[in-house]
This record gives sequence, structure tokens and C-alpha cells, in this order.
Amino acid sequence: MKDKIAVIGVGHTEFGELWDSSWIDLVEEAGLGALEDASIKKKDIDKFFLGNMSLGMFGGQEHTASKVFSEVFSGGPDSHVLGRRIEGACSSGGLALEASFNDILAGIHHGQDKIIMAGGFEKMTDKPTDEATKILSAASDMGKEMGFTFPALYGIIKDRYIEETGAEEEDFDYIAVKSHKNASLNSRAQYSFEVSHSKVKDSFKVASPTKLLNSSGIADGAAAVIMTTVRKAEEIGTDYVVLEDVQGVNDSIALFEREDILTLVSTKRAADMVYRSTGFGPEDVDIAEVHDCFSIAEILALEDLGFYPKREGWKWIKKSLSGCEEMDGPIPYKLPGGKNLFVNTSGGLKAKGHPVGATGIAQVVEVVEQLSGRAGDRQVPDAKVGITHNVGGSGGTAVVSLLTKPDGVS
Amino acid sequence: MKRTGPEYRRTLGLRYLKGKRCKECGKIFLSSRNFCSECGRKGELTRIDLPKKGEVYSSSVVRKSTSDFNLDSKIPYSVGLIDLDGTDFKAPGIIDSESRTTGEEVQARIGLLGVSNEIRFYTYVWNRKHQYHSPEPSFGGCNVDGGVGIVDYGVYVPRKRIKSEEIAEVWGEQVEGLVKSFPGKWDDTGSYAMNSALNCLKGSGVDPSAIGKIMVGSESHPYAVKPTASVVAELLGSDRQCVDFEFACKAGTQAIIDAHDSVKAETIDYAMAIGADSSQARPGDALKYTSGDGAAAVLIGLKDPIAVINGYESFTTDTPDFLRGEAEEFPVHFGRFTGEPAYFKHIKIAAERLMESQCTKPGDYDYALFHQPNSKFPRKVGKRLGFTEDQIEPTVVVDWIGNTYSACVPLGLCRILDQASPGDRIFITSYGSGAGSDAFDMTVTEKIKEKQKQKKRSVDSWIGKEDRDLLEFESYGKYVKNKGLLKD
Repeated sequence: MKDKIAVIGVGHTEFGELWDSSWIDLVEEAGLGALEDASIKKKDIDKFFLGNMSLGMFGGQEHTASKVFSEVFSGGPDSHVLGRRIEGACSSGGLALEASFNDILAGIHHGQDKIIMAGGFEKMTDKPTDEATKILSAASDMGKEMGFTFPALYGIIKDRYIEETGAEEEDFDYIAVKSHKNASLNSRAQYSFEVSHSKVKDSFKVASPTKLLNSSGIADGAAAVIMTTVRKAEEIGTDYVVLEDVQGVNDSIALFEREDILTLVSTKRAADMVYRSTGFGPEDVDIAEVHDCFSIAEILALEDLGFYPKREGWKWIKKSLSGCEEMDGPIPYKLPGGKNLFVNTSGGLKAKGHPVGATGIAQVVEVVEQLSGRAGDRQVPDAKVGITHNVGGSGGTAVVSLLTKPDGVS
Repeated sequence: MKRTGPEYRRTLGLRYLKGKRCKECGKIFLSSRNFCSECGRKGELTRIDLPKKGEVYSSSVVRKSTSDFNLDSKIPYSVGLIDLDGTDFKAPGIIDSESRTTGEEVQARIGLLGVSNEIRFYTYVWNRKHQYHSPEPSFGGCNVDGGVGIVDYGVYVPRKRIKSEEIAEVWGEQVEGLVKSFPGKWDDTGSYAMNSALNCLKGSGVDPSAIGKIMVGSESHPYAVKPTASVVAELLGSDRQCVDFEFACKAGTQAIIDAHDSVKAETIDYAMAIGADSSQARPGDALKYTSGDGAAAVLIGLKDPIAVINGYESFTTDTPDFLRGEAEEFPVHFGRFTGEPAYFKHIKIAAERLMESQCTKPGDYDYALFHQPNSKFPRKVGKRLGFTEDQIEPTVVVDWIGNTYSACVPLGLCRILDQASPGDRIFITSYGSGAGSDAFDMTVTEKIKEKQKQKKRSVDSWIGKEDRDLLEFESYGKYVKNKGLLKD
């Protein structure tokens, strides 16, 4: 147990069009928030990993870690921190988490209990929308999928899903209603208002069958978590949540190169690895923050993470969410075994916001807050096991993590 | 994000559906890679042409796009994965449709993806497949079988049409009964030339590397400097002589003369002559009712011609009836000057020279084709020269697509070849402002029957005389948008 990894602090900026904040302001706010939450000082940090998709294109800045060091850590004579930026499109945050996790594990082998900050950020609104869309399309196989936008890639997946399953377009629209309902309970959310099913249904067809209200927007934001060993956490005397495992897997970047465009093999494999190493299965999970950049992505995620049989997720979602407009949040999904699963209590990428590099870490922040009973209005009762699921591109990368409440199951 | 020459070259194969297949395991790739992803370095890859037909596996209609390649000016457009016929390979591509196409059969045609850094990136674009009207094979026989002539032909006309009433309404004029073609979303003169060339070469049995010369006549070449013909040649797989011609509406027939002479001189085996135009007209000009879009390609050779070129004559003067200045967007013309001292005089002299040198009279011909700036002129000049309605009518294309400038006479010629019987004699006179005319005398051979049988789509279908349900009649607004007259 002592050699397990603990998350001892979390920080999370507001997500949205934060015109008054630069990217470094956001990183500082999330980073300092996490440090305070962990009750440690800047100098206690050994390393930091920052997930970020495209500061180079969005902000014209490279050499990110040094800039973060200057502005956030600003050393002193005994400074020993080393940071780096990690890129994997929208899964950059998840990859930063994975890197931090394994760096701490490696430290254990050397008799060290490292304290690492895993962060993620994106500052997207400094660019006009069409340019931001172009930058985001760099997460797809730009050379081969010419003319394809991200909503179109997921539109193609959704179109095929509809073709093969008989699901109807409006079945997907309940997901957005649920996400907005959850986000209305989250003060950090970009879109913390409720939407009706008919409003989602009638929204602009960005890349049909993908509609505007099936899609996450463009946002600024940052999130950070402080991680160390359970031994160190107990030594510091701070509360913690256990990060049981994190696994990331790649798949081909281009949709057309996949056997089945309705399966994110990367998600499936990463989840299988996590379930195998931790001994937990989908049936043990109480809450999940999944990568719902588009409504169809949430269905595929729930199928690929093992909660629903393949190509049947839509039926369960429809069953769970019909009439959700009248329910109070957070709204759970019903699993085939009869259990409730709370998905994207934060509002998800859809409604909480999706500053791409920040998302993977922000998901962990939500799960940590839920497992430690600090989620306020959106608190899920008795949540003991949570997972996060962070996807890059249309599935070229997926990172899955599993977290537990320390004195819970196990 | 500006694209560059190296990227243009590197992505040619990808855009032209040239894939690679592993010699070991047969896996297909759509990239410039050198080794198989499964077999590694022992999996050597060979270049293959991917099928140009398939079924839409899944698709999405894009209504918000990026400034990359100005794609935001093309919305709505579709993208999707195409299950290529006879393979288990799905190709990503643009689909020329504003509505869902999943499950439909499609075929690939060349389109202009967009312009970046002034470089035009052409790519295959997928179009819905239809059953088309095809030419009726002719009967009979004749003893003409040798000589330099046309060995194959192909045309391309976009399916967009606008009626003169639509245009007249905007300009407060009354012009009724005219129809003309205009560009689809992915069209320009380059894509017209390329598609007509592909259609010409398709059933010819001619190895593209045997084409020693490709010429494109146009007055709307996509580049001021850089030949359209080189773009066509790369696509076809020919890498020898390439040159563009400009002589207003007769650049296409000048290309035919040049092709004939080169083959006759036995310096090359085959030459391709293309006339292609996306005709320019100042929005307020009377030309707005007639300037049309299209292309036709003829392959000239010595072996198995379907029509032998018996001879040609030309007539040229320095007459400024219609012209476009360097870097000017639109041509100007000088009203009544256009008819008498220009069109009628030049055609008359060239036509008479030809009949003199060939020792023929109008009655010796089965078809009489003249340049068609409008419906009236060709009929009028034909009658003045002594030709009859029966000889002229089967050659007319202007009534369905307008004046396609350099493509006009080549298109009319292809329409004749669709209908002609062995032994038929064809009389042609083109006209190009500036000014000049080329006149040709041709005789159709026995080989025409086989060629007509081979053609899956008639010129009548392309111009919209047949298959009228495939035409897309649009508003003036769509016309202005697709013609590039809309300024942001």
C-alpha cells in the first residue's frame, strides 16, 4: 500500500473564454491551487509534467517548462525541479498523468518518494475560431484526411453507428442534456446552464450528423494535481486518493486505417490493462469521467470501457436518460447489472469545457473531488472507485486511469 | 498554413489515388511510405492505382470548416470513407454532395481541393454514380482506314446549369430561353482539362507514356505562368512535351493542328489536344448569358484512327474584337465588331480555303461544325457557306451549355463522333478572337463503331441534352459563388 501512488492535491481554473488570462496565468493558478490543496511548497516539487497540445501554434511559445519554471516555481539556490511539456493532442493531460505516475514508481525503486506535479493546459481563444479549428485538426492525419474537420471525423463515426445499430440521431442528444445538467452544478464549467432536448436536436449541424450541441467548444483552462507515494502522503499528513494505475495506448491516427471505426482500440486496451493490473472491473466503478468531445464519443467510451456491450450503449443511454430534463443532477446511467454509474459529473468536455491539454488532468481533479467527498452540489453518494478516460484525436491515443478512495474497497 | 512545392509533390500520389501494396501480404497503403507496417523491411511496397469506384461506407456533411485551402468557402460539402471496389480498403475523401451519401455508389473525378500559396491542389473527389445515356453504335462500313487522325476522345462538362431568366432578373433585362453550364464546387479549368483527358484515355488502350505531347488550349488557364498541360500530364502518367495554347476560342483547334503535325512528322506516336475553359465574363457584360464551362480532349495518332484528318487550313488577322489585358480579370469586346469583321469573315475565308484545297463543296459533308459563341452565329455562318440544317444541327452544343470558348469546337467534334458512321465526312471551322479560324476536313473510319460501343456516357448526356434529370439548375447566387465572383 505504501508504494502506491497518491494524489494529494488538486487545482483547477475556471474553464471558458478567459480573455484576461494568458496561458501562464492559468498554469500558475491551477498549479498554486494544487500546491495549496496538498499543503506543500513549491520547493517540495521534484518534477512537473505539463500536458499541452499546441502552445506553439496557439500561442507561438515553445520551451514551455522553462517558462513555467520562471513564472511559477522561480527556484532559489536549492532549486532542483525539472519539467517538461508532453504532447498527445487532446490526451496530452492524460499522458502527463501517465508520465508522472511512472516517474514516481521509478523513484520508489531508487528509494525516493518523489513529489510530482502533473498539469495540463490550453489557451485556445487567442485564435479566431477557424484557425483554432485548423490547429485542432492537426490531431488528425492532416496529410491524408484533407478537408476533414474534427466534428466531421466524429460525424463519420456517428453516421456509421446509426447505420449499423438503428439508433436515431436524437437518441444521442440526451447525452448533452445530461452533461449540461451536471455542469449547471459545477461553478468551474464553461457552459453551466441547462439545455432542453429539443434545443440540442434543433442545433446547428456543424458536420452532420454532428450538431453544435453534441460538440465540446473551444476553451481556455488549466488543471493540476500533486502526486507522490502513499508513504510520503502519510508522512506529510495530508488527505489523498489512490491512483491505482494509469495506462496509455496508441492506435492509428487516421480513421480509415482502422478495422472497425466504432471501436477505439486504444481505449479498450488501456482499460483492459488497468482492469487487469488493479483487479477492479467495470462493475466496481461508481464514477467515470470519459472523453465526450462529441456525444457519440461518450457512447463509444462507455462501450469500450466495458460498461455496455458493443453497439448497444445507445439503448442503455436512451433508457437511462429519457426524461432526464426533469431529473435533478447529477444524473446516473443504469448499467446492465442494475448498478448506477455516474458519468461526467463535472459536465464533461461537452459542458464543463475542453481546453484540450487540460482535459486529462481536469478529469482526475473531478474524480479526486468526488472520491474525497468534496464535490459539493454534484457529489455522488458513496463513490469509492472512479476512472478517467482521455482520448487524443479520434482515438489515436487513449489514457485510462483508475482511482480509489483509500479506506474504501481494496 | 501555406503549402509549399515539396508538399505538393509529396502528396500527389495521395491526391491522385495512387496507393502502395505490400508484395508479401497484399496490404494496401495510401501514403508515401516505403515499407509494410506488418512485414517491415521485407514487405517491399509497389505502387498501385486504387480503384476509382466504390461505395460510401460512412460520411458527414461539413457545414463549418477551416480557412485551410479556403475550404470554408466550399461549405456545405461532404467527407467520408469510401469502400473501394474489389478491395478491403477504405479511402478517406471529399464527396461532392450537400446531403448524406452513406451506402451510395460513387465514382472519383478530379476536383480542385483548393489553392494555397498560389499552388492549385487537385485531388480526386467522389461523385454519386448514375446510369448514363450512351452513344448508339453506328452501322455500315467504308474503305478509309489509314492516316493521322483521332484515336479517342473524351469530354467533361459540369452538371451545374443556369437559365438566362435567372441572370436577366438580377440585371433588369429580358433574356429568355438560354441555358449555360457553370462550375461545380470543386471545378476549375484545370480539373476540366484533367477529367476530359482521363475520359479520353480511359478506353483507348494507349499507354500514357506513349503520349509524346499534351497541349491544352484555354483562355482561362489556372496559372498565368505554369502550363495546365503539365498538371494533366502528371495525372495521366505522361512526362514528355507539354504546352499551353491561348488563342481565344480557337486555342483548342490550334492544339489539334499541332498534334496532327507532330504525329504526321513521326516525331511522336500520340499527342493529346485539349480545349478547356471556365469562360470569363464581366458580370454586367452581355456574355454573362452565354459564357459556359466544359472541356474536350482528343487523342491524335496514326494507329487505328476513328476519324482521319484529311487536311486543314487557317486564316488569321490582327483584329481586336475581343481581348483580355495582362492580369485583367475579365475580357472586353467591341459590340457589333464581333460579328461582321471578326467571326463571319474569318470563318468564311478559312472554310473556303479548306474546300478549295480539299476540292470539296458543302454537299460532300455529313456534318458541319462551326464555333458557337451563341445559338445564332453557327447556323447563320453555315447557311451562308451553303451548308444545311441537317449538317449543322447534330454539331450544336451551345444550346445546352453556352459558349465554352476553347472547348466549344472540340466538344462539338466529340458530339459528332458519338453519332457518326464509317465514311461520314466532317467539316469544321473554329473561330478565335484576335482573330483567326482553323478549318478541318475529316473522314470517319470503320473503327468508330467499336469506339461508340465502348463509350459509357454520351456527349449528349454530358451536355444535358440527354439525362436531363442529372442537371442541377441553380440560382444566380449559387452561380456567382461557384464562379468565384463573390468577394469576401
